Order: sequence, then C-alpha cells, then structure tokens
Amino acid sequence: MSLETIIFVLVLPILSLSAVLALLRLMKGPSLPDRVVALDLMITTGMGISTCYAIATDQPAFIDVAIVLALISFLGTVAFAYYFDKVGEVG
Amino acid sequence: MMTVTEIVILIFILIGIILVFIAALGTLKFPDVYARMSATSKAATLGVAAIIFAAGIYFHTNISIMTRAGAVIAFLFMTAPVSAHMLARAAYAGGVKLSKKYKVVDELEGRYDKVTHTPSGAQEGPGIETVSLPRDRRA
Repeated sequence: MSLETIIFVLVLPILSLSAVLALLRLMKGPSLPDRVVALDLMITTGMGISTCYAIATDQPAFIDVAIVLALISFLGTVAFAYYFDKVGEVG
Repeated sequence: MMTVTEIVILIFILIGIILVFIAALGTLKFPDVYARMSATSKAATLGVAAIIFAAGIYFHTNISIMTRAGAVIAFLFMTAPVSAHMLARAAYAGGVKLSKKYKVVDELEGRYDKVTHTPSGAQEGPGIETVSLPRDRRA
C-alpha cells in the first residue's frame, strides 16, 4: 500500500462524507447562523481535501488553493457576522 | 513498502481526518448553534492544521512550500477564534436561544444591550469598564 492509494481509498472518502454531513446541516439549519457555521465547516473540509490531493498527486500548487480557501472562509464569516448585526433578529 | 517519513505523514493525516469527521458529526448532532460552533472552530481547525502539517512534512525538500504550509497553519489558528467569536456574538444579539437540552442558565438574559453590545448592568459593577459605541450605529 502506497501513500497515494491510502489517500484515494480512505482519506478522501472520509473527508467527502464530512462535507456531506455539513451539507445536511446547511439544508436543515433552523437559524441563519447554523447555516453559516455549516458553510464554514464545508470550506474547512475543502481545504483538507485540497491538501490531501496535493500530497497524493505530488503537486504543491494545491496548497495555494488551501490558502485562498482559508482567506475566503474568514472574510465570508466576518461579512455574515456584520450582516447579522445590521439586520437585527436572525433567530 | 512505506518509508518512515510516509508513515509519519499518514499518522498526521489520519489524526486530521478523524478530527474533521468528529467535527462534521458534531455539526449535525449538537442541539445548539453555539455547541455546533465549538465543534467547527476547534476540532475542524485542529484537524485541517494536522493535514497541512503532514503536507509540510511531505514537501520537506522544498523550503518555500514548507514555509507556505506553516503560514497557512498560523493563519488558521489566528482567524478561527476571531470568526467564531464574531459569529456567536452576532447570533446572541440576533436572538438565537440556548438549547433547553443543557441545564445551563443564560445569565445575560435581559441584561444585554443588543445594539451597543454591552451588558446593561455593567456601569454599577466595580471596576468593569465598558466601551460605549454610538447608539445610532445600526441606522
């Protein structure tokens, strides 16, 4: 078993399953902050998927994708928090 | 046959995916937005940091990529608490209730000014300084 095989057979499916669980919360979520939390977790899981793919394919450019995803996730969450502050009741 | 370096990389990746999966389960099963936020901001951040650390070990022959991986981990550890705190404060001010499943008393109930984000009884307490923001900030 090489590292590539283990990543493609075990690691990426588990990360994808985590993204699907977060998607279920994104669809269910009773309040608006629930959905934002689920979206944040989905982007974080995407960072993990991108980094594992960089290891499996020996392509370090995918780590840059993880950097950009981290930036977008932080800015998006801060923007949603400001929006909730402006709009008042979100429960 | 795997080398020792590959086994170390694999151990860090396994720690990372276990933490991310636990965070996803917690996001699905916890009863409360604040509990879900704790799962996302602690477990998932540490898990992804472990995966990126494994990538840093894997690309250890290239210093620039290792530095980039370290920068991503530092950025994650700096921004995750900030975004979770901002989101939790906005959710509390927006009226999201704590779950009744937990035997927890919301001591801020009725004492929190949701426009200025200050506890309203804070001026009477000894030694508590409050930052007063302008009232018409919401406009």
